Amino acid sequence: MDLNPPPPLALGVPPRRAALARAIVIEGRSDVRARLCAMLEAAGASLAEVADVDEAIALADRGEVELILCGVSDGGEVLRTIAARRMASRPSGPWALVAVSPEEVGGPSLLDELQDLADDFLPMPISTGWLGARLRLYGRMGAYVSRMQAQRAALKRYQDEAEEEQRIASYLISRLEGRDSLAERMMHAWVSPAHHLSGDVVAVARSPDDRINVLLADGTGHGLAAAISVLPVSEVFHRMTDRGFDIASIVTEMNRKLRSCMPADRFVACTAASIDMRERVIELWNGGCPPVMLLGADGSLERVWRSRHMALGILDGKDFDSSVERCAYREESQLMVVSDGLSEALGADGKHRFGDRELLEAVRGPADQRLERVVHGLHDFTGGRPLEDDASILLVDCLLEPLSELVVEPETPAHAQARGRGSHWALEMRLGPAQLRKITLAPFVSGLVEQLGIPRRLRSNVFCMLSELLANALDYGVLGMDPVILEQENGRERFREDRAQRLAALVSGSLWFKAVVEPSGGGEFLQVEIEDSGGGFDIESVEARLSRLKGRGAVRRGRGLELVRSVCDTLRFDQDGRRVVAVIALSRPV
Amino acid sequence: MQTQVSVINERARIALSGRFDFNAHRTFKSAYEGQIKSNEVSAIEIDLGNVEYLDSAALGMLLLLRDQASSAHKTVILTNCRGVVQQILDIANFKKLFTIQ
Repeated sequence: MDLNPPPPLALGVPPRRAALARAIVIEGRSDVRARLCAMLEAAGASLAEVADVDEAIALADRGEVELILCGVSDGGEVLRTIAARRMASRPSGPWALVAVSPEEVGGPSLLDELQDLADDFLPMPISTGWLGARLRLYGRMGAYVSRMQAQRAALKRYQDEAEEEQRIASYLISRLEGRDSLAERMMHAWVSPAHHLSGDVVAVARSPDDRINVLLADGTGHGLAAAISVLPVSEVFHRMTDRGFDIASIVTEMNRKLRSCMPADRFVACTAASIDMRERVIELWNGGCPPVMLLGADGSLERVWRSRHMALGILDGKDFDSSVERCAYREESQLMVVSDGLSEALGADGKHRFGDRELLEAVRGPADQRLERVVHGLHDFTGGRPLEDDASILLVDCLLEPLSELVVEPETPAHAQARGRGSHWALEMRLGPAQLRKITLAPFVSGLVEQLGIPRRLRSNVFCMLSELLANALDYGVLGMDPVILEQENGRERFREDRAQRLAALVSGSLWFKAVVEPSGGGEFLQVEIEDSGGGFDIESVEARLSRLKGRGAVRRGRGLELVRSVCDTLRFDQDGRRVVAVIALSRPV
Repeated sequence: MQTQVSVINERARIALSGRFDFNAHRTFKSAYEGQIKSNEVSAIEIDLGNVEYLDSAALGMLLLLRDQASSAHKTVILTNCRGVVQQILDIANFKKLFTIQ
């Protein structure tokens, strides 16, 4: 933006010797006009010659003269015309209209009327010295007015540009935020921007395996700069959730992106979480946000996740910690994430802030209307004073079954068509060590499910089946990992590290994969075969171990074999566990 | 926000008082810039004892100071963090980047 404001005004300190105003004299009677001109020239004024009133106003509006001196020997006729023209063309130029007369004309009634039309009166006779002083004053006033007008124009231009930028930014931001109506049914959110644009972003999105991912991001400061800085965060969140990445990978990518594009003093506080309603487990990463709370059905506090990490965009990749905290839930609960604009909202007493105590007080009671209770509680606390910072509250339902099993989603026409006649296909591929070292299973599988036109209601089942079986074949087959590690203390972390090391060192082994969609008996079936180069496993002992774990009431192990079995019509292992065949009905015989 | 600077034994102590927020940008910068350039200073202490409140812009200023100090091979120490200031630094996990005493 090109904004060169005029020099600041110094109204209280006039220049020592201002230039005399440049003037135009308008007077119908030539003898009076000649006398006026002579007096003005004697006082040192520079006079401009004009043909008529139009030219006089045009010259004045262009700022070439500061003064139109108008004689009133005609009873004020011309002065009325000029005044009317000036009224009609606001804003007019920085010039003054001064009534002048070398002798007494008209009565008090004319003087009364002219007072409303002219800016000043120059009574005559007047000494040359006094006239010069007056002309100098007009010159100075003209300069002030033109500077003020220039400043006003610059401010107006600045305001227009700022508003236009905000309008475009709001539009862009609203478009960049993905919309998933099913996921949004679980979300209850309130965002209160301190300025037109919010530096807080809240979002939910559904992953291909029906997890609900949750985001609250709070950019440094507020307004446009903050709103821009949270954009990449929101974009990465939606894109990577769509492709099935886990929270640790998502926050790592967000941090990398912000670190590469933000100045050192800008960062984004962020909470990202994943709610797996099949397993009833929440994974959460909190970097720089106030404590995140899990609320029971009656609003009681079940669990707190304090900020364990630095905000996004501060640490280099090597120092960045993406580790998440996991927590299981047993009853229907709500995850509550707030930004610091809420927890630091100042009370009506000007001393206390809307802390955890106030927040927990407001959420107590049934989940219904909980958000409204917090907003009202906040309003009462602050006495209705506007908040200093962007503030937001995000409540997300943690249900006991995945949403897609509770709600039947309409299938889009495109997918129904894709599965119409002639949609039977087969796909076969073999992945060697080079491909296996590089592949990330979740986006690979979600891409397959998307591209192959699997009906929407079955996508999460197909995604679960494919990703679990491929992960099993890779981890326990090709890489030879031992699942027993997972049951030990810190097993998850150890498993992950061990797996990463083996994968990086992989030089032999392969994974073969075939998917076929075929009609059978009036229905349509997806059959998947996976074979790996590993040593196989004893399916019976694995299943025995699983039921032992379940019997001990340990973790609710939805994942793994049990989950795959629950989503498949048939599941069969052969070749000592090196090969698996799974079938899911896409449509059943009528 | 007001600042008061004193240097003892190569340690520049910048005591802040009032609200440390976006409006304090210039004041804060001019308080530490000279210390970063100075050859007689090896550590910069930011005394937050009399700070009533700090916002995310203030955290950003501290990060900027840390960046500039570390390129000049100087350390930054935050001292006398109490109450709400301590809470905000905790949530931001600044203990991972700064020495806090």
